[in-house]
Amino acid sequence: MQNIKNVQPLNLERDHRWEFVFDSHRSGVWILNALIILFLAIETPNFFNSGNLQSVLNDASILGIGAAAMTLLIMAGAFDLSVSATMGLAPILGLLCGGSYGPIIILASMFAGAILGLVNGLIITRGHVAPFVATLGTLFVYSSLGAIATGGSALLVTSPFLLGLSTGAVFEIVPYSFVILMVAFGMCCFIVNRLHIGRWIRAAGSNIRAAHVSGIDLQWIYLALFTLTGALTGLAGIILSGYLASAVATQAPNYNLSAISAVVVGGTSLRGGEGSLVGTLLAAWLFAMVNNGLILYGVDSYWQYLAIGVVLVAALTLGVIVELSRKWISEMWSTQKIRANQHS
Amino acid sequence: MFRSVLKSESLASLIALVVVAIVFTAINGRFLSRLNIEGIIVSASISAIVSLGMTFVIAMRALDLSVGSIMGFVAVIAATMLSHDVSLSIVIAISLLAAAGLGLANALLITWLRLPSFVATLASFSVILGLSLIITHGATVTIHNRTLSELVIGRIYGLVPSAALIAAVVFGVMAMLFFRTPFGRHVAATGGEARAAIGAGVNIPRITTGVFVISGALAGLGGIMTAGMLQNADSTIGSGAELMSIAVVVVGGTSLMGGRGNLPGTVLAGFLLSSIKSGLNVANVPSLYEGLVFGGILITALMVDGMRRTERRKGMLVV
Repeated sequence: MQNIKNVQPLNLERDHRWEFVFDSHRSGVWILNALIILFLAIETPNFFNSGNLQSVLNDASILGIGAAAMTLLIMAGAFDLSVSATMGLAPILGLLCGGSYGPIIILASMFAGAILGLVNGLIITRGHVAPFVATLGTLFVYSSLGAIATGGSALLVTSPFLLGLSTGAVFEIVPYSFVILMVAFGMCCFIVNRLHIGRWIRAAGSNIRAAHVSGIDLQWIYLALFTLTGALTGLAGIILSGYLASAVATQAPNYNLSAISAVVVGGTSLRGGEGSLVGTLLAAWLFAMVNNGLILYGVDSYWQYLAIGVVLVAALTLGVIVELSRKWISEMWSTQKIRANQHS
Repeated sequence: MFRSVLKSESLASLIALVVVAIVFTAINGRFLSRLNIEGIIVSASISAIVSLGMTFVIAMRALDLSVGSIMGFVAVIAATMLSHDVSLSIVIAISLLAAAGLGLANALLITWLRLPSFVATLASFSVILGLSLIITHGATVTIHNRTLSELVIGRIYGLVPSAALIAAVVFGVMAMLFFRTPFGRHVAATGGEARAAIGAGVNIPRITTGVFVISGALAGLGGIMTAGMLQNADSTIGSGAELMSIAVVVVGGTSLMGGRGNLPGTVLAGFLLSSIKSGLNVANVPSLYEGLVFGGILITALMVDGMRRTERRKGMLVV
């Protein structure tokens, strides 16, 4: 009976309401964001020009749209390495098939992306191939197809609608691409938090056997998720093409790794089962801000690679440190309480 | 070890290799010309060396995404040192040590900071690429040293390129290490079931460190050899090599689930992919189609493997 006193009481007082925005897993991304904004405010006030902020938001949006879908995939315990090829191939197909009318081109490239994602999903679910290698194979295939479709050169984007969409802004403040990101993000949040499939996604990610045994249709989930990832990547690709005023198969060569980095920095575990869309969004903003800040600071663009890697490690390490110290503090706190109880 | 060559996956690669040779020779007889075969051997040796390191990593159920960056980095520092008239043996020693050091850095990120190998090597991929870009400012460094290229493409007794000898030695050492030493068994045990391995007394941090140092050093060797073959170096010399070598390992019959490593299969797959690349070249197929063929082969191989697996799991295999 003596030992019972040492059992930690269930901590019912902890406030869970804000956990979806802030918890120790994504404290790293918050801290780094704060530090870098502080640094930029002191060193390069130009950063806060509305024009510059718009371009950072635009970069963050292009990364964030794909990374939001990637978050769902990683929560379900899968990967998609082919997104960097889809980023090129989908807008190329959209431009080739969509005619000259802007909205149709966007829909066409989203549709093309969805088909490419569906093919990924079919290979994985029907062919029983691990997502990592299946999408590695389609990465080779799609990037080759993109190059073949254009003969290795660039397709010009002439639609004024597309050009305006990628460079314009609502009330000259918020870029349209950011609005699109918010819609995509809201949709992903809705899927994860409000639909049954959201629960199934987390179940599949945390224990795929258990999920299967409890009757969840895993094949359907993975097909849906890969299709969603493809569609959103196609959307991000056409926005990028509009921004660059041309579509090339290799327009986003490292998009797969950047998107996965953003998801990981945002506090989503690669083990699957849990994740945070808010964290992904913050991480996308963080990467865009670091790249932009380095340019403003007058550093060679080569340092960007270095900075991205350092940010990745720093964010994760900070997350671990905060988590450990939180545990340590709460442990100290509860032992003190227990001691106080023993004395009284 | 030699029996393992006859494992079904390796046999499939061997048959595919023969079929590829026959098909491309039928299309264009130049495929079997001496020059072309030497080219295949050199590039296949480099790809096999890098992929052998990756086989260890994958057998441990980890991934090393920094391989391509390490190749570029090592090529760049070797070329830079050579252009400052440092003697070749010192250059090679320093480059290989640097590569092993980068592998050690990966291992420290994984064992000390407890990062998953995917994330840790993703970060070092970016950092190392940045470092080599900073060293060269994105420029190409030309290598004027003839000895280095002789060491890679020069013929031994006028027979085979010396790259083949290097690859054979590396394969021998790695196969001994994997199949005949406790270290190799521990690597496979860690990949098969990490908890059981811990229970059996395997020092997982030490195994992880060893594997990533090997992977880094072999990537460095591959980088120097690529630089010697091309007679120049830039930081993108190994770009895409990480994913390519994962593809080689997987086509060679090593499962990403870990626990097993098919080293002969990896070498065969390296030769298979290099001969296909060269064959497409000889057959005048534009290089744009290479990815289509590689991806197609990878997906087909995996799907056949997935269908064949008798104990088919309803749920999917997830890395």
